[in-house]
Amino acid sequence: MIPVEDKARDFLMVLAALLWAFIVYASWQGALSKSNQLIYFGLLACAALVVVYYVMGAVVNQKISTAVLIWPVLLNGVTQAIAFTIIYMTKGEKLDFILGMHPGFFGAMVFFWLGNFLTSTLSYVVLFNKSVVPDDEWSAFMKEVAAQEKLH
Amino acid sequence: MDEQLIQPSPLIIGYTIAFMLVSIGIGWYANRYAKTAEGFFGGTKMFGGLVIGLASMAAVMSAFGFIGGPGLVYKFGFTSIWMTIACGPGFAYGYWVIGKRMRAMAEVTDVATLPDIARVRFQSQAARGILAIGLFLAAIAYLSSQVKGGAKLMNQMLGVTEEWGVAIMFGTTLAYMLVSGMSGSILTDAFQGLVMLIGVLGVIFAFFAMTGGDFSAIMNAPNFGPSFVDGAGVMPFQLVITFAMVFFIGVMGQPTMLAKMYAVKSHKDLKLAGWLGGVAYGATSLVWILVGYGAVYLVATGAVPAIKDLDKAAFLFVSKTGGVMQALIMAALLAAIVSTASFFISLASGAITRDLAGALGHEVDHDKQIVVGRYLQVVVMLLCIGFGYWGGRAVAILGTLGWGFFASVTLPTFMMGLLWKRCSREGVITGLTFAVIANIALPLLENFKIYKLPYPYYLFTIAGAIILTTVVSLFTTGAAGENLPKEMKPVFKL
Repeated sequence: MIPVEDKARDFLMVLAALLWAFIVYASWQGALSKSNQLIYFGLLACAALVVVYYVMGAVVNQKISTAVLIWPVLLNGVTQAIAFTIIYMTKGEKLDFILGMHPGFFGAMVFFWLGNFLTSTLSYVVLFNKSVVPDDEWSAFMKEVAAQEKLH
Repeated sequence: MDEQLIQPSPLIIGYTIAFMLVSIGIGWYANRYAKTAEGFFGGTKMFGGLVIGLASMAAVMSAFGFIGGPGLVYKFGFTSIWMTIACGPGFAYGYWVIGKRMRAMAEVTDVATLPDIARVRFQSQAARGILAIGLFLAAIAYLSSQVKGGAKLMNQMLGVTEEWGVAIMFGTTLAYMLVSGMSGSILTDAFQGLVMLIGVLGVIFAFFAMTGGDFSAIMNAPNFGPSFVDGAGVMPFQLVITFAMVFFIGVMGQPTMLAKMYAVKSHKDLKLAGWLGGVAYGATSLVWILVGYGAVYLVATGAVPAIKDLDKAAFLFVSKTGGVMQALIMAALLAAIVSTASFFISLASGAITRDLAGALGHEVDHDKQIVVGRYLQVVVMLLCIGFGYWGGRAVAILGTLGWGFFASVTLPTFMMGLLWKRCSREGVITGLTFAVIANIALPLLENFKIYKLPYPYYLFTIAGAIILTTVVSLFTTGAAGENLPKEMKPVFKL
């Protein structure tokens, strides 16, 4: 288990803010200078941003397991990065189709759409009881809440 | 009246009437859940995962997805599809990130509306009030932008004038919303979600029967070409950033989803709600994709002449399907509009009745909130119809508000507020104030051709709100860190 305590969250939130700033910069400057490469870097920053929030959300009681960190968290970023790379490389090109789809279309649908489903939705179902909302953690929470007044 | 692409048949009219009667019946049945303010405005802790999953999908997928989306595919290829393919898997991502903490808030305090949570987390009436204003404005804008789409749809389905179409569609919605509020919205949305899924089956069947899944005809057509079938589309490349991010991360900032997270009966229901909503939304994305490409295919192969009005692309595709398919698909389009509209009527009336009044020091008596809420539902509905139908330029400006506005006010408040102890009252008020002002100012500047960002302005407002909230929180301590109310601390252990 990897500890993600308050200091680590401070760092992750600052990192997220920096990534948002870079994403805006890449969109802005990339559009003005017509630099698809800069926009592509912005897309990679998006994939990193997804991972940052995912880490914070997947933490239970200030810890995250290594297995969860790899799948779904990091793999989510990887599949997005692959999808963005494919669409960047194939944009506007007349290429042979893969399974009836343009390679860019294929990359978006398979790596972004399906890839995201496998790393967010499937993992949510499979890991729900163990890593999303473990029953013992919820029971401990309810016990603590029962011992206090409702907050108004 | 618009050109009639669909001929209203007894099948379409009968299915539409049955759909509306069942919706009203379910809405009235839901009155049993709406006896308290929490039930009327929030449906708090009342429903299972199946209902919440389907209702979330139905409320998130709107007229924009079923009518506007295919039009954008027709005009620009794949670019707009990034919105919808990001949104589906974004559901479970959102539940991973904040689902359990939102549900936990319903144990820590009495939750009926989203600003209730903001008030308690940040111990601030200002945060509650600004959030309520933001939600109200965005809800009105979103709802107003649905009015025209709804009018056109009813015109095509029933052959009535657009004015009568508006009256029938929104009159039906109000008929059950007045009785059961958000609880009615959630239960009817679940039913309407099922109708949408049936329509999806019709679309898949019709698309492959019509095109054989052959995209090469589009790539080789002189008026379309490879940019229409690649993964980036014809719009400027930077839009992929905005669409992919704002719709993947931003879906957890949509009230249509956030408010459902505390409406589940138990924490165990979060499981089904989280995955079912996303998978069902993913299925409905196929309408956006296949109907859009179906229309492109029809024009690319010369089967029909090109169209100018993008909103007609969906009807063009449907007009080439058979009678039963037309009834199924058109009812799905209707369900998409009505389900979203009912949610926003409730959201807007709750934001004023409970939150803005309370934030201004005039808390409406708990017992009277439902009555006041009902009056405000009528006011909200009339405001939106009037604005949406006769608002002219104001609608063009407000029509761009919605998804991005919601994300820019809710991500700092809920995602940051519930993930980060150090997120402070001062930080979130700064972020919210910036978001509300910038979301109004930037589209005004665009519309009056004074200044336009080279990418969708809401990427700037979301990023700006998050960055400001982060920076100010690092230097302030209101309701944060050691000053966090002790009752909130168990939420951060989850």
